[in-house]
Amino acid sequence: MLKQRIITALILAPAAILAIFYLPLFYFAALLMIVIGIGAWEWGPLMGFKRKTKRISFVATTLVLIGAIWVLLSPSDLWLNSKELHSYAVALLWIAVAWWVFSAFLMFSYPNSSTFWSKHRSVRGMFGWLTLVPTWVAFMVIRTNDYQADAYHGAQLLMFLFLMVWSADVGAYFVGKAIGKNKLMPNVSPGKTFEGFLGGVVSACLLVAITAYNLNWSSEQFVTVLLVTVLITTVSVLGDLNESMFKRQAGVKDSGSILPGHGGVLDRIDSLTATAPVFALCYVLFGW
Amino acid sequence: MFDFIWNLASFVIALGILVTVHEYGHFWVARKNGVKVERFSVGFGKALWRKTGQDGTEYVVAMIPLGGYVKMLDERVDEVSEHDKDKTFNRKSVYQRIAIIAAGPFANFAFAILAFYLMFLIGVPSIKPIVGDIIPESIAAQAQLPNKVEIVEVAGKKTRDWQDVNLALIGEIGAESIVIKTKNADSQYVSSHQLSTENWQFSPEKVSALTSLGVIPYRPQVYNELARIGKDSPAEKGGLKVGDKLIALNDEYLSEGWTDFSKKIKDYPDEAVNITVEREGSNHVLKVMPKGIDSNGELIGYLGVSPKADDWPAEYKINISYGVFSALTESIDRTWSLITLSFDMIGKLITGDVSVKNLSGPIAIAQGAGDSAGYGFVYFLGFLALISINLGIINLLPLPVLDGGHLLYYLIELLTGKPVPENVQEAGFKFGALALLALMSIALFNDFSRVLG
Repeated sequence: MLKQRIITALILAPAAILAIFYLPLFYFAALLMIVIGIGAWEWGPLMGFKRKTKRISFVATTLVLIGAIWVLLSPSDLWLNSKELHSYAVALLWIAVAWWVFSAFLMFSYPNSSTFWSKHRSVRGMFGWLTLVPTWVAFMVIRTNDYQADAYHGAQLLMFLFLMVWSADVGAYFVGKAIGKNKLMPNVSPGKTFEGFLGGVVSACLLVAITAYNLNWSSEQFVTVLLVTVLITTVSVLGDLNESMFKRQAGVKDSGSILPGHGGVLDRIDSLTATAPVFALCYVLFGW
Repeated sequence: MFDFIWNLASFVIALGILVTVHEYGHFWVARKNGVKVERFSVGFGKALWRKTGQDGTEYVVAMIPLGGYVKMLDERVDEVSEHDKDKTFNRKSVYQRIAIIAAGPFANFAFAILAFYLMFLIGVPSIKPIVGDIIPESIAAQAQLPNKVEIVEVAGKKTRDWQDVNLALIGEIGAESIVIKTKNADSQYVSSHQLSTENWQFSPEKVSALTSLGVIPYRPQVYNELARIGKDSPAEKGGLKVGDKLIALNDEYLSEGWTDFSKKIKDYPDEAVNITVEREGSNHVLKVMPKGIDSNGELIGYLGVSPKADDWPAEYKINISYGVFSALTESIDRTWSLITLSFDMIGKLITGDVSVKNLSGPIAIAQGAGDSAGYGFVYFLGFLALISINLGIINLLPLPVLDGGHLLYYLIELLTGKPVPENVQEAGFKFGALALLALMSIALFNDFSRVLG
């Protein structure tokens, strides 16, 4: 299982990196839309949709939503200048952040709070859209930052986010396996331990420290980024747990099976769905 | 493909008319109140056609036909020269602003009245609501509603055709009982029946209100005899002829009528079947291969035949048309009842009596536009009126972003004497946009599910 997981990761990670750096903006946006579309497909069973037509309808609506945002808020107009983001995009990011705060509340009160949303499919669908659609916006916001001046600046930012999430994942996995004892949220996900969570945070911070050292960051920059890193890694666990919670409620184990050893696309992007909007908003608010 | 283009064209025409009407309402009242209108746009996005009038207003037809806007001079948005200050929207009294904003939805209601008026003048061919059968042990059966009678009144509302009956019934969802009045075709005596609807429940997307109560409308008799055979259809190729009486399918006897056969033949897409027919007094067995066609994502067998059916008896048909004056009152009545019905529905949506599954979006509207345009002009008029009313009502919802949201702000201004603070308005707009987006997403999802079956 671990071997398969590593092999898939070794193929997937470089593919993701290539896409981030070398795909032209249009194709990047389209690819992202497809990935999120697959995520929406996998969200279907979490809402209790068994019929294909219902799942396709959910995917189609998700794609129309993203398509509408794409048309109305063209990626090239997202940033009015290098520091000022289009107010609609800011609003969308805030909505996403508000949703994740709310979702954290749902998790802490799980399973008591689930009586409300487990009964209403439309509410779960809404949750799905809140999880998936802003992710696309956040990715585009990060990718197009300062695009006019430097086409790779946004790619680097995105890469940084990926590395943070990945190192947190890897750190959490191994530290949790080695010394994990105290369960983080047994009601939602029995596999996650508090030690693993700390391991993830520490390993991401290490990564930031190495980057800061190599890029000669000022101490002020370093502290800002370190704080953001702690926030992002925490939020990344939130994204993970959020999906676990919906899977648990729906009685689903893996959300899909396209990625050997990793389950579905949703399992892979769950941390990113939470971190990308938070990261984008942090960058808009604090910069560095 | 033709269907798609037809639906799309009807949709664009219908929506184009309704958006123009709505925006023209704003435009007209704004100008009457001395507001300078900078742009009158039908459609959003990229301009396809533009022309600047002598009045200085720019008239635009834009690409995305899902709406439009009237851009009025406003100091909060534009740089306004001293000379034009009194021509701005924001300087007008709150009453004037209310009038300008309300004019859009009201133009839609007025248009609905006009469309219905034309429709009633021309006259709508319809069928009298005559009960064909009552489902045993249904609510209607318990109320001892007889069959072969004409329904003349439902819950106090006169009913001349099935649409009236259905509309009246839908308006009574949630009521404890419904009184239905009927009369025999040959007498004037009206009898009254009380249906107890305490436990009446149904999902409108599956069955009509009527069938859920146990009332089956009268339909002319249909026979299992072929009346028409499509050119180059699988039936023609298999040697079926007009006048053949269908006896058996793969040696299994078919029951009288048409439903049994039409149901069974669907199970054989691209699969040869033996059809036994009676022709000129003797039985023949024909080998026919129904073509597999896609129906809502399912492969079904298709033969290309239609059955012989009795005509509607003349006394069952009715052409509902009115005189010049009665058509006016009737169209106002119809518009009013649709307005109240829509508000009722929205209320029930909020209380949860009606599921969000019943929301329809642009795809359903496009299909409706295409279908109604296909039936004929009067039906398209009726459809336009219906959608116009809906457009007006949706715009009156107290959601910021919509006309209703602006009206809400102005009403608050009227009560408190000062405008709602800018930042509260701004926050409201964002919340409103989100709520609207959520509603539209659900509607769109419903549309997709319906189209995909």
